Amino acid sequence: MQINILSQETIQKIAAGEIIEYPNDVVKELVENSVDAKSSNIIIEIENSGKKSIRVFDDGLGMTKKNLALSILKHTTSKIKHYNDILHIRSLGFRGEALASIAAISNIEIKTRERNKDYGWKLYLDINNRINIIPWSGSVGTIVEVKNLFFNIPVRKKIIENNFKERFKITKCIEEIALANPNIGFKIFNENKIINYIQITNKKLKRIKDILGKECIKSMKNVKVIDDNNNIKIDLYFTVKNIFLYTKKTQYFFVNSRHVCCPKWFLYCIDQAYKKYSNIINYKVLAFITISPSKVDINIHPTKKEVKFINDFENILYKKILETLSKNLKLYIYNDLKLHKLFTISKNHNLKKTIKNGISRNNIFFENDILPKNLSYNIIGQIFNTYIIIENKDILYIFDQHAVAERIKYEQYLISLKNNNIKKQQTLIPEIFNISSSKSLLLRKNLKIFNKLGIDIEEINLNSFKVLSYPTLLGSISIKSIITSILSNIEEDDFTEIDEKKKKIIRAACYYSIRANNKIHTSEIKILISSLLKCKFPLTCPHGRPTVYSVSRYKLNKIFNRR
Amino acid sequence: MQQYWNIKNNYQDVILFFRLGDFYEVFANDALKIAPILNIVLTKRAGTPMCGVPCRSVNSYIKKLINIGLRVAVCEQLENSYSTKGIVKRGVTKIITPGMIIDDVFLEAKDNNFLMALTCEKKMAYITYAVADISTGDFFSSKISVELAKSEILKYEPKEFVISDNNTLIDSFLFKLKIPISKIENTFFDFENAKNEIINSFGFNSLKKFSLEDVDMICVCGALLSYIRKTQLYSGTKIFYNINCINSSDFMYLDNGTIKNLELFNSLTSEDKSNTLFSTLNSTKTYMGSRMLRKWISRPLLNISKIVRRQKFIRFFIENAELRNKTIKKLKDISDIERLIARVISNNVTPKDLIALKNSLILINSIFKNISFIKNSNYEFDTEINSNIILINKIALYLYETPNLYIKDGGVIKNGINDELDEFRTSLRKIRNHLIKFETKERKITGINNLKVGYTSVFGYYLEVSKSNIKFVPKHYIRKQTIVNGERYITEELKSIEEKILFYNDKIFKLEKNIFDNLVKKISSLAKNILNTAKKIAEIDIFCNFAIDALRYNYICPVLLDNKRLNIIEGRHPVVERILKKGEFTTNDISFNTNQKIIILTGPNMSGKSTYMRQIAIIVLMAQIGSFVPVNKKAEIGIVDRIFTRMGSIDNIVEGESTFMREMIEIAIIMNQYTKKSLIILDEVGRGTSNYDGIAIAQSIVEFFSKEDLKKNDGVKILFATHYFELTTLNRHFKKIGNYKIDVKEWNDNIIFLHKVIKGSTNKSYGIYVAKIAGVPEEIIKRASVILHNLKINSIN
Repeated sequence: MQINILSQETIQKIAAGEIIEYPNDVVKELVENSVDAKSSNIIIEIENSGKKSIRVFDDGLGMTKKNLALSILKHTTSKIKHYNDILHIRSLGFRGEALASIAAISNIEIKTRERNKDYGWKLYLDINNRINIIPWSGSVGTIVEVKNLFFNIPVRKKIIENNFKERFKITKCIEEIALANPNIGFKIFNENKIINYIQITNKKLKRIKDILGKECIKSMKNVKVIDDNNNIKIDLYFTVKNIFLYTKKTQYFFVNSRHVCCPKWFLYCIDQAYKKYSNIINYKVLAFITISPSKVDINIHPTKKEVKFINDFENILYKKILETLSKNLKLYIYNDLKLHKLFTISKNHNLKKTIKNGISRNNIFFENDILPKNLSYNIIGQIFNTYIIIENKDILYIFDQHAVAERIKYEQYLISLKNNNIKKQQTLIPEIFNISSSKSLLLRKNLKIFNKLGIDIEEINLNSFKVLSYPTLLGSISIKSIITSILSNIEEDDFTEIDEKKKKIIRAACYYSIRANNKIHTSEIKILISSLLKCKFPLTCPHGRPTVYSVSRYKLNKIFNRR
Repeated sequence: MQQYWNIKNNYQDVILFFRLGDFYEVFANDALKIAPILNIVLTKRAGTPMCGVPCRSVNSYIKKLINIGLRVAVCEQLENSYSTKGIVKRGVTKIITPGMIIDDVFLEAKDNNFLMALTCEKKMAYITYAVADISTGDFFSSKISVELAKSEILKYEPKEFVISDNNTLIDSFLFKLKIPISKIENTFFDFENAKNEIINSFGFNSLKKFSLEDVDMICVCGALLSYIRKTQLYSGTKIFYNINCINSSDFMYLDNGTIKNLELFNSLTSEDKSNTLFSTLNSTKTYMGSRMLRKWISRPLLNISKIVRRQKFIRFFIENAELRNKTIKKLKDISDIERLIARVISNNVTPKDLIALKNSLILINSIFKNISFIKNSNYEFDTEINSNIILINKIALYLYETPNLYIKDGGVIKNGINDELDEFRTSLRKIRNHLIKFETKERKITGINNLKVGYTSVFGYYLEVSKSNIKFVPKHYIRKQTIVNGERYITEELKSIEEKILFYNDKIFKLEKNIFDNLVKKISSLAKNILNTAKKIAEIDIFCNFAIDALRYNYICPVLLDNKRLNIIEGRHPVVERILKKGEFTTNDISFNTNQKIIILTGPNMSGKSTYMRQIAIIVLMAQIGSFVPVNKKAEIGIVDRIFTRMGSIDNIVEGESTFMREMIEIAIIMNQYTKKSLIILDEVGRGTSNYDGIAIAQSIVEFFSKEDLKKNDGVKILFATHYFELTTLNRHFKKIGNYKIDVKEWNDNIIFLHKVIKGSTNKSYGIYVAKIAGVPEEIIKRASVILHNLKINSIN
C-alpha cells in the first residue's frame, strides 16, 4: 500500500480540521487505525486516564520506513488516493489527519515493524520538532505511544479533571469499536492492571455478551434482514425484557462496521415499535447495517460520528427496521402474559430520566402522582395476611403491610433521633445475652452509637451483655434477639461514617421488630395507610423494596378486553 | 528447680524453654549460649545462670535460634493454676529444629521445610537420601550418583541433615553445603531397625506398596522415621501416609548451574525472589498450589502422556471461562489445609483452625462438583467429595461457626452434643441470672441505685459503690479493694455465687477440652484423605492459573515428541518480556533437527545472546512441566532429559578455584554426564585464559560434539555462544553445525541492538562501543579505537 500526498483540492474537500477534544478521541483514532491495519489483537494501555500516556499496540501489517515518515504529516493517509475513493471506502479512517493532529498536541512515538522484516523503525520528534527515524527491534505490528496529551494547551488539560469520567469514556469508545469487530481481540490496561479482556470470537452474539453482559443476552433475539434490490443487509439484535444497565447505551447503530451516532429516525423507529407492541421501556437494540459505501456519506462531521444515507435509503431502512422489529416483538412478547408487567406510569416522560439516574435507597422511584398525600380511598381488606388492598376512583393499590410498617417506624425513629427525644423504656427484667468474642468486640466498639440511638447496653462480663433500655417505638420485642442480627448487619462497616452506621442500625432494628404474618383489623389498616401518606418517602421500605403497587382501571379493562 | 532438672535430663542437646508464669526461662549452659545470640540480659536464680523472654514474643526469639541451626524444646504449664495444689505440672509440648517445624509462624508458606537423612557406602559412588516435611506430609526417597547428588540435594533446599554418627564420608561431603547437620546413632540406620520402623508406621506390606526394595533406601527411610518419632512427642509420623520413591530417571535432570543461571528460584542479581521463573509462573491462589508448583519446576517430566494430561487440564480451564472464574474466586478463600492437618496430628490446633478446615473443604467440594458437572470433563472426584463431606459434617456437628480462639473462653462446642455440658451451661446461665437478681436485690436493700456487680480476674466478683454512697453500705459488706472513685466489697452470698460460677466454668472448660480433643483425634484418623484432597486442589489451582496466564500473555500449547528435534517459531522469554513494555520484546526462532545439532552464535556484547539462550532452555522446561509456552507461532519440542548450562563466571576463591578452573570443572562434568537427549548451553567457553588456549579448547569441544561415531552425540543439542570467530569456519569441515548471529545496526555514531537472531556470523564485538556507553573515559576509548585499528591492520598483514 502506498501512501500518497493528497492534492490541495482533495484536501479542501475533506479537511474539516479534526479536533482532538478528549483522551478518548485519541484512543478512538488510534484503535481505528489498528483495525484498518488488519490486526487480530489490539492492546490499549492508559495511565492517568490518558493524560499521562496512551499506548496502543496492535499486531497488524506495520509500516515501511517511508510510510512511517509520511504517516505523521498532515493530510497523508494510506486509505484513499482520490476523493472518489471515499465512495468505496471500507476502512474506518480516511482523513489523514488524526496522527498529525495528535502529534501537534502531545509527545508521540511510533514504533512499527512489518511482518516479513527482521526489525522495524521508531519515529520520534526531537526538541526542534523534526522527525527522527531510527531502527528499532520489537514485535511485528505497530505501537503508538501518546504521552503528555495537551502539554501545550494548559487550558484544555485543566478541563479534563475527572479521571473516572475519562476512563469511562475511553472504555466506552473501545467497546463500540469492539462490538463492530468481533474478530479482533482487545485488552485494556489501566495503570498496568488489566481492566478488560475481550476475547476474539467469530460469533457476534458472544461479543455482545462480553460487552453488554450475560443478563442482556438472556432476553436478546437476533433477526437478519436482506434487501436484495437495494443491496442492504440489516443484522438486528434486540431485547424482549426490561434490562437495567445504566452504564451502557440503549441503542447502537453501526454502518459497515463503523459505530455512528444513532440517527433520529432510527431512535423514533425503535421507540414506536416498542411502545406499540410491548410495554418494555428498558430495551437494548443493536443494528448492524451493511450497505454499499457509495450509498452513504460518512464525511459529514470531523469525528465521523454522523452519516447520511442517499436518496430514499433512510426511508427504506426505517420501514424495514420498523417492520422487522414490530413483527418480532409481537411474536415474543405477547406470548408472555404476566400480570406484573402491567405498570401504570404517568404520562410524563421524566420516568426514563429518573430510571437513568439510578435506583438508590430512599429516592423516589416513581413520580409522586402515584401516591398523593391527600389520597382519598376505600379500604377493601387484607389478603394472605400480608397485603392490604385499597381502591381509589380509578386505581387499585396493593400495599405490603410489613414494608409499610417498617417505613413508618423508620421515619419516626429518624425524627425522634433528630429532635433528640427518643422515648425509651427500661427492660422489665434486664435482658442478658452472650455472644461470640468477635461479635462482642464489634459491640463494644459501637456501644456509644447504640446508646445514642436509645438502646442502652452494658457489658457485665467477658462476652456477656445486658440491655438496660430501648426505644418504645420498637414495640414490645425481645431486644436481645435483635441485637445479634443488627450486629451482623454492621459487621463489614469498620470505616463507615457514624451517620450511615446509625441509619443502618435503625433500619435493621425496624426490620427485625416487625412480626411476620399478622392479621390486622380495618381500623389498624386506616392508621397504617394514613401514617404512610404522611411519610417523606412513602414508596419504598428503608431497604429499597417497594411498599405499594398500583394497577389502573384502564389496564384491567384491557386485560379483560373490555371497552 | 528439681522439676526443671528432671525434664532437662531428657533433653540434653536442645535448648529448653521453661514456662514460668508470663515468661519462658532458660537456665544454665543453655542460658550462657543463647543470651548473647538473642541479646537478652543474663541474670542468676539460685546460683544458676538464667535468662528469659516474655510469652507474647517468644516465637520471634525461637525463630532466631532456629535460623542459626539450634534446636529448641518448649516446656509448658499443663494445668490451670486454679485447680492445682502445689507445683503446677509441666511437660515438653514441642520440639523445634530447623528441619522439624509445624507452627506456621516459623514456616515459609510458599515453600516446603525439608529434613533430609543421608547415607552412602564406602566407595561413595552413590548417595541415598530420604527427605520429609512434617508440616505437609511430603516424604520422598531416592538414590543418585554422587556427581549428580549435589544438585539433587540442593533442589529440596533442606533445612537440616540427619546422618549416622560414624559415617565420615557423608559428613565431609555435606560439610561444604553449610546446612545444619544432626548426627544420630548408627543403630537408627541399621537395616532391621529401619525395616521394622517402616512396617510399624505404614503397615505390613508397606515395602511392597511403596516399591521400596533397595537396602540403602530402606535404611535411610527408617532412620528418618525413627528420628522424627523419637524427637517429636506426639505421633509425629502420622502425617506421612506414603513414601514416594523417586526414580531420578523419571524426571529431567537440571544441574546446579542450570538452576542458578536460568534463575529458576533465585535471581542472580538481587536477593529478592521476584523476576525468577518461579515467581513469574506462580500465580497460584493457595499455598499448597505454590509448593506443588515449585516441585513441578524442579522436576520436569519425561513422559509425554503425563505431560499431555496436564496440558489437557489447562485447555479445559481455557475453554470453560465461567467455571474458571468461579473456581478462582473460591480458591482464594481456601486455607493451607496441608499444614492445618499437620497441626491437627500434633494436637496443636485451635477451634478456629477446624472451622477454617471445614469451610475450606466446603469450597473444595463445590469446586470438585462444578468440574465434574461439565460435560465431557472426564474428571471424577467422587471419593474425595464423599470423604470430605464426612469431615465437614463432623466438624459442623460439634463446633459453633464462630468459636472463641481459646477453649478456656468457652463457646466452642455446640449445645446438644453432651448432656453434661448442656446441664453445666444451663446451671451457669441460671447462676448468672441469679447474680443479676442479686444485684437488683442489693440495690433495693441498700437503696444505692448505682450499686454495680463487677469482675476482675485478680479479685473475682465484687460489689462496687461510689464514694458518695459509702455511708449507706451495710455492715456485713466486707471491703476488698479501694479504687479511685469508690470502694469494692464482697459478701458471703456473693462469694458463694462466685464459687459456683468458677466451678461451672472449670467444668465446662474441662468438658469442652475433652470433647474437642476427641474430635481432633477423629479428624487425625482421616488425615490421609484430606492430604489427598489437598494435592488434588493444588493441581487444580495450578492448572486454573496456568490457563489464565496463557490467555493473558498469549502462550500456546507446545507439541511434545519423542524425537531429537527442537523447533520454536517466534519464542519469547517469559520473565524478561513482562519487564519490558508490551510489544517491545523481539521474538526469536530456533531449530535443531537432523541437519543441525550444533549452533554457533556470535554477536557483540549486550546484544541479547544470553537472553536468547536462556529463553530456549526455559521454553523447553516449561513445556516439560506441562505448561503452555511463551511462543507466538509454533513450538515442537523433542523430549530433553538433561539440561546443562555453562554461563557466567563465578570464582570460588575459598575452595581454591579460579574462574577458568571453575569453568573447566563444569565442562568436565558436562562431558561426563551428557546423554543423547541432553540440551547443552555454553556461553563463551575458553575465556579466563590466554586467547590461543581458549580457542583451542573451544574448538576441540565443538569438534568432539560433531563426531558422528559417538552414540551419545546422536541427538544432543548444543547452543554455543562465543566471541571466537574461528569457530564459525568449522561448519565447512563438520556437518550439522549452523552459524547464527545476533544483529545490530550501525546508525550514525551509535549501535542499535536489534536482538534478532539470524543466520550468519559476525566478528564484530563492538567491545569498545559497549565500554563507551558504560562510561569509560573518552580518552581511553579514543586510544583503544586506534590500537584496535592497528591490530586489525597487522593481522591482515
